[in-house]
Amino acid sequence: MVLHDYIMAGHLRNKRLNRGLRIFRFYRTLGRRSEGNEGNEGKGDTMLAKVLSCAINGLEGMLVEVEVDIANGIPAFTVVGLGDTAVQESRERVRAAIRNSGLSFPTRRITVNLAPADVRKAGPAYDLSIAVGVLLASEQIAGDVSRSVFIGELSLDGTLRHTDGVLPMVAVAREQAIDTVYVPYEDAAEAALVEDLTIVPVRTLADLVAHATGERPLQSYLPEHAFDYDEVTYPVDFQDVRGQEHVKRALEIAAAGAHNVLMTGTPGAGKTMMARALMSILPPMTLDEALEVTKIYSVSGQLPRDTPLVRQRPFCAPHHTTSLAGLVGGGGAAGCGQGWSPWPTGGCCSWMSCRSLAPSWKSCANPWKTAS
Amino acid sequence: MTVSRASGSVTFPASFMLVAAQNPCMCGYHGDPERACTCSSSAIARYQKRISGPLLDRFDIQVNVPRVKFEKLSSEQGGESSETIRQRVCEARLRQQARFRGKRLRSNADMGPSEIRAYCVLDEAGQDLMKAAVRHFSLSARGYHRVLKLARTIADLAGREHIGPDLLSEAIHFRSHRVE
Repeated sequence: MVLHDYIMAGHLRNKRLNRGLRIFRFYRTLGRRSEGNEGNEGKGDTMLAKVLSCAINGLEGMLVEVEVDIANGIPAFTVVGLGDTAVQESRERVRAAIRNSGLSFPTRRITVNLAPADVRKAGPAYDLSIAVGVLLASEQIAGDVSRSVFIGELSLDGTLRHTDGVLPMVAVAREQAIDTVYVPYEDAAEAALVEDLTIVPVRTLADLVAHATGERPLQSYLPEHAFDYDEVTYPVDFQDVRGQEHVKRALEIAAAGAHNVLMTGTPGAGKTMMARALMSILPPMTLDEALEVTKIYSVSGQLPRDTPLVRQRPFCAPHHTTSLAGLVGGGGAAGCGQGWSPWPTGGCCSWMSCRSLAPSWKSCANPWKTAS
Repeated sequence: MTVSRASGSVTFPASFMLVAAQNPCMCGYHGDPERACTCSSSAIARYQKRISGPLLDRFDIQVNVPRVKFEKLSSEQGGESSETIRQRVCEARLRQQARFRGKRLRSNADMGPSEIRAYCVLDEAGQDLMKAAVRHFSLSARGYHRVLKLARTIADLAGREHIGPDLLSEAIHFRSHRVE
């Protein structure tokens, strides 16, 4: 009992001490700030910059305003606005990238707000906009960025890395009448799928600063070629399938009207082969369909680097033992987390041998209905 | 389709065509003329029940895929190339697009009841055939509509405006396949 009281008393004393210390620090900061204000009258020592970036919710992009405030006080760098771990860690990337680009990172109190503050933000795509905001607020660069969007993950040395979901982000930028989008160099071809918008590929943060100061202006991206539907190759051709004429007829009808097919047969009769061959008789995707599919690939990080536009209808063959969560995406986050496979939009989906299908499917009879 | 998780819910586009493949029974040889099936009848019934009724009802086309004979397998003569088939499919889709112009429909499978009433009109012989089919195969309301949609697609492939009894019977045939 005695020991307990002793510990509690110590604990309370520490708590009071800490609280006192916090209050003391707070007033000291206030005092400094007011002193500073008196010092540079009219100029003010808090500086604010606003830069635009994009968030992804599902497949839809959304403009995010990155507000950077630099004030006097104990040096700190905080990011608020419901960011996930990747967003919180962007502080370290931004700090290192600015330093390693030959610029100075202000040792003052920096607050970054990602507005609207009630929408969850995920991923490293805000790095570039936060860095630009810090540089603007600390007056290392100047310029009007109210009609520009900055997207990209920063490397510690200041180069911009490939970022997922660039296509839907640029698409929303065009909807919101943005003029210019700055994207990582290797994502420029993907971003340029959206027309009527200037895409500026950026290699490093230093290049962007040189662009802003007018020292070395960056070139905007010009698509090298118009999008032609060049020959898509298919793994299986119906020519390779011997016999089974009635099944081929059934699949032709299915492809013509987008009907669902169930094939029942002995092992090795060619069911799987013909399901794969179905891809080769589906009509080519329209540009809108291709863009939608590309968005899914882009958001889930599965877009091949060398093909900015996916032209082939996605084909996915989930195993019959897959769970519902495995099929539509599981985990705590709704959307495209790790390992999330692109949902087969406008394509075909093959279910291999439905052995243990029934129990898990009973509950989800309705998801068959297509959402448009 | 909408995915709801702890952090919120998100709607993704999910328009797909399902192609499923299954064996007729556990050993896989039920109904095969050359190899005997080793499953008991109750095992076969249990196996086939694994696809639930509601799921099965949504397959417009159900087709048996039998073993390929050796003569066919070894023959040099292949079937039509995918290219040729794709052209026919594209023509059928173009007819559908012309029909659905101004609507949010992409293919016959997307048709709702009002479109089915408008575009899948049967003549008298067709009506009689349909009546017999609904009774004989105890088709559900959804099954009835799906047969009509399938018949519409077959007519589109054939380049015909009206769904005749010959086309309708092919649609019904695809609906009624099941290894007994």
